Amino acid sequence: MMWRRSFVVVGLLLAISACATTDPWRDARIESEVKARLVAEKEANLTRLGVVSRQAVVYLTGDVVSPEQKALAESVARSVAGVRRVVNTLDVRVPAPGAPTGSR
Amino acid sequence: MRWRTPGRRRELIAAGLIVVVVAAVSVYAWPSVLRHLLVAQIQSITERRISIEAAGFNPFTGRLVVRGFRSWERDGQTPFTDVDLLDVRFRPFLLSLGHLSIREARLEGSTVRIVRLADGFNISDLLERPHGTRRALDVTVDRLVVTGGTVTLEDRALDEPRTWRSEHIEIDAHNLSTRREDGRAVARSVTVGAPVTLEMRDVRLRPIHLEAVVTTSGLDLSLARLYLPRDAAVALERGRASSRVTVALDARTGLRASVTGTLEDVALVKRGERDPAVLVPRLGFELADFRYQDDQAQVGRFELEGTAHVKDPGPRGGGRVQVSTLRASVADVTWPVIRPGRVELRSSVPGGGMLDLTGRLSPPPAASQLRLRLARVDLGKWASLVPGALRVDGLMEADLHVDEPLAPAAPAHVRGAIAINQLAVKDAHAELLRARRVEATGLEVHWPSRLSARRLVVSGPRGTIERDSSGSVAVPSVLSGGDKPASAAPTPASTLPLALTVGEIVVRDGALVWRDRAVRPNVALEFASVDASVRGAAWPLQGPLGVRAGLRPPGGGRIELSGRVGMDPIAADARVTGHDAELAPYQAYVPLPARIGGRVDFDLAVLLPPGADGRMSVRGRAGASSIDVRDGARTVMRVERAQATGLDVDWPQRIAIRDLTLRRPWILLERDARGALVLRDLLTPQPAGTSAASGGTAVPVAIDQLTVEEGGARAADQRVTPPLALDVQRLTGRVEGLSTVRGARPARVEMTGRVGADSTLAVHGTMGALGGPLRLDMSAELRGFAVPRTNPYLAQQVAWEARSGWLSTSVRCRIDGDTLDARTDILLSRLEVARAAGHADAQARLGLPLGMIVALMKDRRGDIRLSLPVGGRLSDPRFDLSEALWSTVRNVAVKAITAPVSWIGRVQVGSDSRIQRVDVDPVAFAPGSATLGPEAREHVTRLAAFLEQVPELRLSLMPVVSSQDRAALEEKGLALTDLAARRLEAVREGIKKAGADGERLIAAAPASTDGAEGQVKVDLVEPADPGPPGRPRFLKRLFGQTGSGGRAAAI
Repeated sequence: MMWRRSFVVVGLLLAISACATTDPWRDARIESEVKARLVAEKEANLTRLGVVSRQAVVYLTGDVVSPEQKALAESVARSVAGVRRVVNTLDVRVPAPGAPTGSR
Repeated sequence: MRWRTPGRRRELIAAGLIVVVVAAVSVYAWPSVLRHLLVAQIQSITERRISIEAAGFNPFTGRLVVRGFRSWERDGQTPFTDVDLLDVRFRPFLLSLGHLSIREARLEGSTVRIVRLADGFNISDLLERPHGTRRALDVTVDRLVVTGGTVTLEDRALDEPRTWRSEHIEIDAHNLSTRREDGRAVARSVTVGAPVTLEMRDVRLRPIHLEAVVTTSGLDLSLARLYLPRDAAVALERGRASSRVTVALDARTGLRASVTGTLEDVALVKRGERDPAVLVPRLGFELADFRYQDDQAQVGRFELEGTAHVKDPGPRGGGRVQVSTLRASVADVTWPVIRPGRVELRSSVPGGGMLDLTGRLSPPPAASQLRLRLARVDLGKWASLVPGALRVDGLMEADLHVDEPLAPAAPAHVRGAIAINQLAVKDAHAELLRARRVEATGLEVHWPSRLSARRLVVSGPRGTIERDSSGSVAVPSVLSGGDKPASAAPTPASTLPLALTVGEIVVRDGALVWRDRAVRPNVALEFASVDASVRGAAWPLQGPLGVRAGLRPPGGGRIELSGRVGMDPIAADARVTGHDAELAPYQAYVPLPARIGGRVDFDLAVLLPPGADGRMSVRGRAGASSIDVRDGARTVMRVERAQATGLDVDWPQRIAIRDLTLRRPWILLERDARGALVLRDLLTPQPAGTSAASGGTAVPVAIDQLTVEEGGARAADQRVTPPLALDVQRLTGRVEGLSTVRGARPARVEMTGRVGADSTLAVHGTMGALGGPLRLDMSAELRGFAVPRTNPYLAQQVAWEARSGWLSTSVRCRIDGDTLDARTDILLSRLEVARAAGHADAQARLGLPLGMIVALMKDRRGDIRLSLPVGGRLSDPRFDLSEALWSTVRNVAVKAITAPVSWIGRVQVGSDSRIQRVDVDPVAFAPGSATLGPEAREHVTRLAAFLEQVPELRLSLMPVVSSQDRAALEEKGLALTDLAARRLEAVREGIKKAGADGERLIAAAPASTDGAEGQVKVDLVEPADPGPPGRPRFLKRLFGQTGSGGRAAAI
């Protein structure tokens, strides 16, 4: 009994420790870096995309003008260190012909 | 019985002999006498030389035979007529009753030469000879036979004299009489190679009456030259006519005729040209009810129908255009005109199209009413008739009315409508104007003084204006007066004799294309759906025009104008509205590398007074939606809606805006990998070679209130590793009294927002006029900013990272001219720092470890409070704001650290104010003693107090045994071995006794020295690495320290 109780306590502490070791600023760092790297994409218009990171899962929101840009944004987010997963909810809104602007 | 006497008998014999002789002589001499009588008589009448070979006359039988009759012209040399035989049988007894009754007249082998001279015919004298006053004889010809007749017509009035012959003339006539009207005749001839047949019936010689049918086949029409004016513009070159002419000639009722026939291979030649202007392959004609009496002609109906080929009148011509349909009808026409006649002409127009001319012709001074209608006339075929370099194409239709007395010149008064479909106007270089339809209605021409139209409708016009690479606007050569582009549009010289007025000019669905090669990239802007109404247009100009116009600018939307516009001088009083007009197409005229998009709307009252010389006033409102400023494909600035109300522009004096609202403005503030601010480069005007980039004196701008709603920004820095970005959100505020007017009162600024997800920013204060000296009195407050967000900077600059900590700061900045007076209060809460890997260089720059500095600067609550005053003269070339800030930070840090350290030691500061190290005084012992002396106890107490004040630092304690200690113990006979431990324990216990946590004391390995006195050396130990971020302290304690916090184990 004694061993079993000790084992449970140690396991519980390890579980708490594993959860608690999550860096509260990691998501802020990820958001910051993902936004910066999206901004740096000169050939696409990704400067205004919404980026939210929760426990290293990055959620992308906003509009892009092509499926290629949607894929590019996801690829950029995935390339940032510490990102576990990317949830790409970007909407592709192809600008009307002749419309020079199309970003949201 | 008396006959039987010899005397009487001889007398009778003699008389008989005489009679016989006389008779014989008479019979013998009669022909000769007769011939001489005839010759003399005819010569007397004709005044021409006459010869007769033989003549015979039998008074009993009434037969006159003349052979070899010849006559000559008045010159006596040129033959005039030849008659081989004239055989006439008449009734002598009736002659005595005043009736020349010819039983038969036969004319054989006759030749008549008629010559047309410049001043008439060679027979003119014969025709004009006055008739005698004697009563004319009645004449009856039972039969007239002409055989072998020839008439030659020689035209010497032509430039090239020609001769036509009518040969084989055969006439067989019966009952030609002045007393009966049942005469008939049949005549045949070959005239200029064409057979001609004449059939007459019901002939009466006097008063003349006959009905005849003349049939010709292939008659050479060039004979008609004889009857055409010599100076006519067009001459009949050739042609053949086949006709059937029905003639009724009566002395009382005049001439009536009807003609049907065809013209073939007719060629008309212009004067001075050789190539025929008109070729008529075949043309049918019908003349009905033609009457001629008392020098008046009347055409009951005249119709033409056929085809023709007209020579292209252009200088480039040489080809021909076909008049496929020609149908003309003239009815009830008299000449001279004495009553209305009807005319109807329908013809295809060379090159395409139809012409209809109908109406009534009336004798002057009465007015004639004519209606001319044109349909689908191809103007391109007539382009050469348009003077100048313009070429006009299109299909014209017209409906014109003339209601005035006819005159030889052009009609003075024409009314109606003219329309041109598919109009295209080109000059030598390009197409200037294209229109689906141009229609002028209510047209009135008062030639040559006035031309007016009630309405001119231009449908679907499309024009192009070009500016070449040199910046010159290409002016149509017709306007520039030459065949080369001009640099400016000159005023066309008013050489028009006509005064032009147009009640209303209407433009529907027009388009105007502006091509500009003077800018890069080249621009082609199309302004479509142009609808306009212009009232009061006139030339020469008369007052302002009433204008209503609208168009769709490039990219969509609508711009409309209504008001009055003057052309000379230029003036305007109009309302201009725009809705949803796209900005992006005008990118080439923005002298910035940034691409600007967005849609604008405005409602402006524009007043341009006459002679304004560039001055104008604009009042109203203007706005823009979805303003999008891009760096290539990237959006770097965006405003969802910008709205300016109370716009009041007095150009070029001032621009005033009562309220400017920016809703959801957003901006990207990016420092690229080279350290350059992208936005600054994008918004720096380029020295482009465009006129739009030309500068000038800045116009003062004043904005009463600038409101920012829900603004935002994304600050990104690509120069640090890893790159970072930070969002500013919910930026809301206002600026009151913003102005560029020098000396204007300061503007009040209030702005709040959020930085990142959890910190707030507030800015308020005043700001001087933008155009004047810099005057600023601003306060900014940032609360709750997470310091770890700046880790890329910390790692790069000081090789440390923040694991936690919150920054709150307030800045008060005053700038007056070039004097800066700023103070920044900083509060750092719960700041925890740790070394960052891979930034060894940064560590060297910092000097003391940051963890140590932070620990030294923290107060008991773990906060760091700094107050940074920054001041200086901005105009001083040695002033560097960045360096001033860092210098202040260093000084403040040194001060903050020096205070607590001064209790236990001293801070060593380098010449550059950088903290080099912290020296802590050792705890001194008497030689060989491990007991704290009075000074040592005091120092130990200060160490404990230091630990209390600087809760994150630890102390390293290193006992040192000196040669003096060894000497003293040897003197007392004690062992040296535990002296160091006892001294360490004495210090630790002393510190613990003073209230400090013993766990913050770290024992260092004992050392021995020969020179120094016995002591325990004390060093500051920087805080332990807080460990993996986020690990709670209770877990740290549970699992122990894992960082590189100490150089020895805790005591």
